Amino acid sequence: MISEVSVIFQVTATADHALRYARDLASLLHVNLTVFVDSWLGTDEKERIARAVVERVDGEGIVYKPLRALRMPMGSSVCNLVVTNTPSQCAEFSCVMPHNETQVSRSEKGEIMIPFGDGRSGIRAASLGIPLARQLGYSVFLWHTTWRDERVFSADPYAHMCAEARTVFSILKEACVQERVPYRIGIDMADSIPGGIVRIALREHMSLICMARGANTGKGSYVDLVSARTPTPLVIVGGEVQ
Amino acid sequence: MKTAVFRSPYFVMVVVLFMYAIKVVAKLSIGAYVHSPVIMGDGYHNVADVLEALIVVVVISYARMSYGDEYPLGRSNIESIFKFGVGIALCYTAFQLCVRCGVELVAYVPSFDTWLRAHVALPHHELLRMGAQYFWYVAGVTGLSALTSWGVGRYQIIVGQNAGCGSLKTDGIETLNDGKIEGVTCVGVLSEYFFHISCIEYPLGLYVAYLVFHAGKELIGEAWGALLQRSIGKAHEVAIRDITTRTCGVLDLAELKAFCVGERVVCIMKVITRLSHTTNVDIKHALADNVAEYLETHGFDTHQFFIRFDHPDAHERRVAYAVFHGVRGSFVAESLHDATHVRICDEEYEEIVRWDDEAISGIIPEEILALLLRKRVRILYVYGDEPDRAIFQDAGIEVKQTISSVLDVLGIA
Repeated sequence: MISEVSVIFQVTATADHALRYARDLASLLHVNLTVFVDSWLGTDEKERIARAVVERVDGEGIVYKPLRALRMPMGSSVCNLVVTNTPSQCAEFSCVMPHNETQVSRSEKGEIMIPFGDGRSGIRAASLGIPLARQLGYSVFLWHTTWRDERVFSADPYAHMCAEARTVFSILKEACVQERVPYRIGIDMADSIPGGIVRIALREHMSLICMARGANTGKGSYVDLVSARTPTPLVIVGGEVQ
Repeated sequence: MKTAVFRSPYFVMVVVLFMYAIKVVAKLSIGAYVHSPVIMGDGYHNVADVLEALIVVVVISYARMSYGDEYPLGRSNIESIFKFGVGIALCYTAFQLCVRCGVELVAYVPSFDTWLRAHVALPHHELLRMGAQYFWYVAGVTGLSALTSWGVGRYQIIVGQNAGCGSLKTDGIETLNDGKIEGVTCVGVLSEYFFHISCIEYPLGLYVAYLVFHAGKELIGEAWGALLQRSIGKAHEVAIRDITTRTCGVLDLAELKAFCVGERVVCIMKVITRLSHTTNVDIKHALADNVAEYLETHGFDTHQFFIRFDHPDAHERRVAYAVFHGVRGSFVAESLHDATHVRICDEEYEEIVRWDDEAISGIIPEEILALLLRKRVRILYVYGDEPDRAIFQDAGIEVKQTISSVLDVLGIA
């Protein structure tokens, strides 16, 4: 359950988009928006920032906190989402990269894409993505890109999936059923996994892509490759979600 | 292999030509034999269909030629030229049919017929032969003709859709319409035989003339629109615009031109984004897929996209911040008096993309003004009130207060 959406205040166009996006996300989730401001500001400066925030977005339900609070261990509030286009600022938390979007969904009916592979990263992504979809009233699109198995002659991509990926697939379907979140499935044999994710998300008008970093991935995390390329807002799952 | 032959557009057109050849011979001979203007009119209509079928064969092979530099939008408009001609021929057939049926109807009122013939040159009235000895020929020709038109028309549409061959599909729709016309004729023949209402064929003939004229008018309209590259319609453009602007990363659709070249929709789009080339290519693929899907569900089976990208106006300008560098760090100064430097910043898309510092300690405001003017600065930011504001504003440099004194908050750290 997402209980808070956070954003770091800055006077730049990118941060302005992030603030508007965070406001929209918090409104859709019916939670407070926390605006993190520099820790050492005086009273006058805090007032100026508060005025600037209200000029940009609806000021209802906004909480201001010093930036150092973001660095503190958050314990049970690990489910909070930080809206930022520089996720390295808060690598240990789950964050949303809105890119240049100022609203959560451009379509009337929102949908969250959860790409999965044969490892735990898909399950971790779903552990945030599925509850988030439920809270937003969105559906989930489970997406898997498989490499072609040369020993299999079928044109059906499902036939080319490995056993581990099928296990993850079953777990995710079960999670959707348990959370009562409508879902649909897509399996493809694209040449490029990140490219396939980006293009499908655009083609299917996805509101969000939800991904988690693989624990054993060294160079070329799909999260980094997708985030560098996609204009679709990307949720990066941080720590394990309770 | 056999299946592939049946799905070939050329094989389909051989079947169509064979069907029309039989129909033309059967309808013209039976129509002349029984003096039926409806059946003969239908036969002449089928002559036009044979012509159209031959055009379709030519068009299919011509349209499949590569585009090349000489024909950047392909050669499909040749189809529109022929379609225009066939449309005119159909309208003329409808006119002829209308005149013949009118003459036969007027003959039922002899006084009016005599008066009319005194003023207008009309064709001779011919009595219709519809005895038992002719019935099975007439009913057989019209009934079988309607059935074959329906079957072959469906076949053309299915193969045309699967092969992405718009002209074949259009011809299939035309053949299906022919089936309807022939069905009406068949109903007229049966009514005449079973209910002995000999004049029933002529009002029905007028109705057939109307259908033929309508088909001709449609062909002319479509061809005219394609030749003059008329837009596919406001409603479709609104839908394409909606699909585009619903795509993440798209800021605007600055240009949209959607028109037909032959049967193919050509879509020229200029999309505004602030994204990299790689992401624009991803968006291009997604847009082409989604717009193609929309067009296909609205009867436009073939399409060609020209999607190009542009950036919005970056609103480049140069601004400056009065900055204090001290042992406790750097921040925006209350005024130029407190500043040690001015940070000259290049701004694009409301983001600072480059900055450098110029030392101003001990320099009088007039010299700072000269520096800012030399650097083409348009806005000077301070944190507090600038006492020398008037000097700068008189010289055309706006002086503004920043929201924060923290450089990181302002994106200029």
